[in-house]
Amino acid sequence: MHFQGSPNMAEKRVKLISSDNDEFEVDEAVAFESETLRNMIQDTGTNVPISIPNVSSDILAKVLEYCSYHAETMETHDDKPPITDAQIREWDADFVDVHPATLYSLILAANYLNIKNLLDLICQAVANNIRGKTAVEIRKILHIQDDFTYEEEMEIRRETKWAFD
Amino acid sequence: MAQVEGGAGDGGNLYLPSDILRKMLDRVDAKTLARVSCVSKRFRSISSEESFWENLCNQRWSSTREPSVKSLISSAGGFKKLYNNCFPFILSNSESTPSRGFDPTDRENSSPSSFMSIVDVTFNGKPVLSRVVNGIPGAWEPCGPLVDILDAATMAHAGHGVSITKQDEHGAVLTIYNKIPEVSSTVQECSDSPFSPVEFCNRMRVSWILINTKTQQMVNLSSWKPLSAVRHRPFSDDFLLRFGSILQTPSVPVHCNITMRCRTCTVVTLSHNEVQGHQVRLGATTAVKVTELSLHLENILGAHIRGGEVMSLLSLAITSDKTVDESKASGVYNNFSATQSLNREALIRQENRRQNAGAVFFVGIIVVLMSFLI
Repeated sequence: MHFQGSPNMAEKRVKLISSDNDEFEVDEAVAFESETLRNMIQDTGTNVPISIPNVSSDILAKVLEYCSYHAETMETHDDKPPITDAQIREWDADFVDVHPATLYSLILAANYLNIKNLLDLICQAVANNIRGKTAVEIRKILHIQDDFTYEEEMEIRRETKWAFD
Repeated sequence: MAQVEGGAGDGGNLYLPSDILRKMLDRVDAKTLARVSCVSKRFRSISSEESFWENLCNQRWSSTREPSVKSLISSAGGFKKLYNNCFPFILSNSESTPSRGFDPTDRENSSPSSFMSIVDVTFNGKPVLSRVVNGIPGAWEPCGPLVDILDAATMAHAGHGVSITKQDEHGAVLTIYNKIPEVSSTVQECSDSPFSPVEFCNRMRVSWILINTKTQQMVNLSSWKPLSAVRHRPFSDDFLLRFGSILQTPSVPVHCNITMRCRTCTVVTLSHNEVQGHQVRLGATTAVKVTELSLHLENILGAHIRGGEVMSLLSLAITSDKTVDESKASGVYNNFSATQSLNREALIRQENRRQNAGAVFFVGIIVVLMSFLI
């Protein structure tokens, strides 16, 4: 399985292996969006495939889609007009418009691969998802189990009564 | 290779690494943050961290950015406590229990010097005025407000010099927007503004946080939004806005009255033209100007309350029930002001009757005297 990064023969290519043993090949510039991959490549070079044992193929594909788009926005082409900030925001908004479970896996992947902008983007998306929701709804969104007794929960509600009116 | 922190835990529980959770909670509003503390024990401990609440307090009350106010809040129990106690406003009704921790005989903890006021005024979400006042300077004065925010004497009295706005000799000014950059030249005020009077008054917000530094209790005496707004005088550009709350004492209700006088004005910038020898208009900026902001307590007859009673009423206020429901609070206020105006009318009628009786008596005496003479 090959990931279609922007084909630029002058650039070095990097091989990445997902937890499902799928191989992805991307431009070095795309991989460099990830701080973790940048460090690894600087240590071991681009000849050795880099295995990412805790990110599955579908999530890694999604992450690389983000990285290659954002690496592309950095490049300047003479024949194409530059991508505007508004276009990037629109693309980002579409990117995070996915199932909460996918979003959740993306957070962990972005955290592990240390892609700051992606992590910020997803945290904002999750924050938007839970805004104004009740505790029960927030538990459902974030897959959290309630570990309070009824009395404990009532006590917390009393403390911040205004938030539950 | 390092393992990712997190993943599916027991019973389908997903585990979000704490620093990611913090990143998310940095981006939510206070209501969501408070609700998050109900989600689980771990979420509760993270969402209770002061840094989130400090951030939210700074957005709501710009005075809390000031280092002196920050240390005051930290010593009185922190930013989470401040937000929880001072974002809602007072709603005391006659059925409510005579507030927990309130002891009217506790003179030591209710001296004027144990109170501090942190006052913030915003227009359209932008800070106009922030002040901190030590004590209740006017409590034992024969007349005048209990606390006058723009009074020079109060300023000198206040230990903290929180002042985030430009101030001229007549009050605090907020420039709403600039049409041109400021130029050092003659300035002339006129009163046309881009806001309708109703719109202007509705965008004003006042917070009056009262802290008892000895008992570490705190409350917001204001209603955030104006309870009433009238022109200072007919055809005047000044508005009198009332904020505040009704305190339900065991006997009679008392209005904790925060009065603000303000106006919008357009500041025209003029420049002296050397060649032609007359002044040229360079442009105009619109500004909000607060010329008066004070606190007093008044009873149902409209009379101001002074002395020791002020202290016990403020101690009552600081422990009273709270709400964020504006309609309830304004309902209580409307009831109070209706009763107050009825009482006033009754008082005027009574006075008129007394005067009439006096006049009749006087005429009677003259008639009797005249009849004697004849």
